[in-house]
Amino acid sequence: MSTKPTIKRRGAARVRGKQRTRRRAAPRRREATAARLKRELNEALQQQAATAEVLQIIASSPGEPQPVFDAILKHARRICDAEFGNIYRWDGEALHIVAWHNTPAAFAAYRARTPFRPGLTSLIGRMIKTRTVAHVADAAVNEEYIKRRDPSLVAAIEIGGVRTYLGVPMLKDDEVVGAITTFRQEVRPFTDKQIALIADFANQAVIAIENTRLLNELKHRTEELGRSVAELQHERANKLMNLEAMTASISHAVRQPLASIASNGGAALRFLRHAPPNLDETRLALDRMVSDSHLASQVFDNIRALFGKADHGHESIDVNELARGVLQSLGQEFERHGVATDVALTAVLPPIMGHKGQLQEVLINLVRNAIEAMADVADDRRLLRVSAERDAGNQIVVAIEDSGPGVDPRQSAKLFDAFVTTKAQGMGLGLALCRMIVERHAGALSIEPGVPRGSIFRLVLPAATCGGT
Amino acid sequence: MNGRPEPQPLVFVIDDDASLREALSSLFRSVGLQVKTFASASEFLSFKMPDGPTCLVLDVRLPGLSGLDFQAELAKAHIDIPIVFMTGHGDIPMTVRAMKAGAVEFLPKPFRDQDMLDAVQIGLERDRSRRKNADDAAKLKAIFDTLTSREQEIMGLVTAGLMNKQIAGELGVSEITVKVHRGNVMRKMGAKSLADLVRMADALGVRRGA
Repeated sequence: MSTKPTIKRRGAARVRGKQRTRRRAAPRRREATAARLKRELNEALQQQAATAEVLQIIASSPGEPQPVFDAILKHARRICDAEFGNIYRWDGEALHIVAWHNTPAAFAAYRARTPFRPGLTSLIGRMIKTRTVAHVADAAVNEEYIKRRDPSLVAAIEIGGVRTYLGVPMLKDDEVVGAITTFRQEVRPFTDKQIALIADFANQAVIAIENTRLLNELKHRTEELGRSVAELQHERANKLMNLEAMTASISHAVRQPLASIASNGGAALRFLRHAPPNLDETRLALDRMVSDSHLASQVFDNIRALFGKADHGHESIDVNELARGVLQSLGQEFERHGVATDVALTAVLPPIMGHKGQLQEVLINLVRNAIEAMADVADDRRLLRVSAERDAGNQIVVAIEDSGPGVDPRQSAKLFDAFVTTKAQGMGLGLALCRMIVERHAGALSIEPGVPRGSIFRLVLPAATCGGT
Repeated sequence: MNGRPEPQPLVFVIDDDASLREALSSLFRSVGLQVKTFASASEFLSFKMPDGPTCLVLDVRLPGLSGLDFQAELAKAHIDIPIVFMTGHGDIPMTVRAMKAGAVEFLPKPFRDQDMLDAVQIGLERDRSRRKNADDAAKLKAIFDTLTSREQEIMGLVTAGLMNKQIAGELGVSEITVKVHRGNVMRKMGAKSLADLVRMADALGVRRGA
């Protein structure tokens, strides 16, 4: 584009000069000049139309540079009067062919197999290094071909039948991002104007690549942002849920003794109103009130023990010992509910670091859940399996399996949301609280269906690394 | 009605918390009610139901199954017993479900002792009247069974609104015979009027064409 006015001016000056000196030859020269100008104008219009079309394709396919490459090669070949052309992209190590137009199939296949690598020993390698145009008027007499047998040039000549060869780097911020090559199968060098046009196309290809990159990056960032927002929301919901679960659990634990106290109080007052007052019954009711009050305050002691100084209570725990202790303490419950136990501990397990009281409560709750789950099963089929082992990732896995009817897989995720508290003695934590405690130990608590029936609760805790406090 | 002393009312308590069982037992005894407590639903089911009004005090969450499911199970087994629910959660949808299924009351823990006693009294009263209805029906059936088959037939036709003449025609007997049978039916059934007899026939389901 920029060369056009200069040529015109120069041409016009020459015409004026010649008019003065040789008047007779003027008409024929004017005709020739007019024809040349017309041809040049046509060329310029063609180039402009091609450039405009490529720009239009860039605008209409922002996420996809391929249509842009195809259009560039189509126009470049036509306007520059080349036999065929290729476009390559740089991946940080080599140039890989990504588009070709009219290229002999065997040559395109060779290029696909053999990407260009930078280096001063080959033509294209040098183009990548120096970021300059590589223009070879006759490849067959080029010393790279004759002396050095540059393999890419050998392929171009012997597979592609190439004689004249033009390689233009695609540059972004002075970095090679790709290249356009155009070929002629006869010896006819490309003009400066043609080379300038290919350079323009190279710039357009860079814009298309950049557009795609930016768009994809934007998409990626947006998705990432969306994901982290969702994660934050989930985390927040989890925290609220844990709080809710804890409140519900505490409130349930306290309501029970309060109901007893109120009932005993009512009974005592009424026994006093009997005629004569029933002092024995009154005394018994009052005694029960006192012990219920202790029970209520014990709830708070337990909570404080469990959650108050959560991080202080960490100690080294032998999971085998923990499991054995829990099973022993629940021995009477197994007997009462007719539950047989099958305990498979692994002899030597690395210790874990954690809050013993909390993990104990978790195990107690999981075992109690299992007992409850088997209430409707025939007596001789109530079997509780407890195992502890170490997995490949140096984690301790405790599995608690019941032979109950099992949990509907669609419901099992909700199981941890709905804070179904197990009551009776102890804290009666819900599964939501159990999971919270386990997660605070960097572990995981999950449920899966048992075989052939029942459920398996799997408690995974990381083994302590050496030298734990 | 006939002066037979009413069997003692009995309150059942099912809760797996021993201290609450004892407290409730004491509360009910303090107002002269008999109490039987159970730690689980299955213990309750293996108990032989006494002859007398009863009421069941039940926690919505029992070991192994929910109180609501237990309520449904009792209904399926035609065990008709008024239920007072207790809950430690104050769960509104649960309350609605229980009340719809015929619960007497739904008391959140801790409840006022008087509220519990009132609820149980309502439950016992409800059971008393259910038992009386069932009792009356049984008595009526027993009297009806003392009628001869011809008298039973005539009772069905009379209470359907047929006149003596029509009945005589239908049965192929004289009008006088119908009149005699009709008098016997009224006397034996202890009906004070035709309307009274119609009510009895309805209760027995013997009214012809009704």
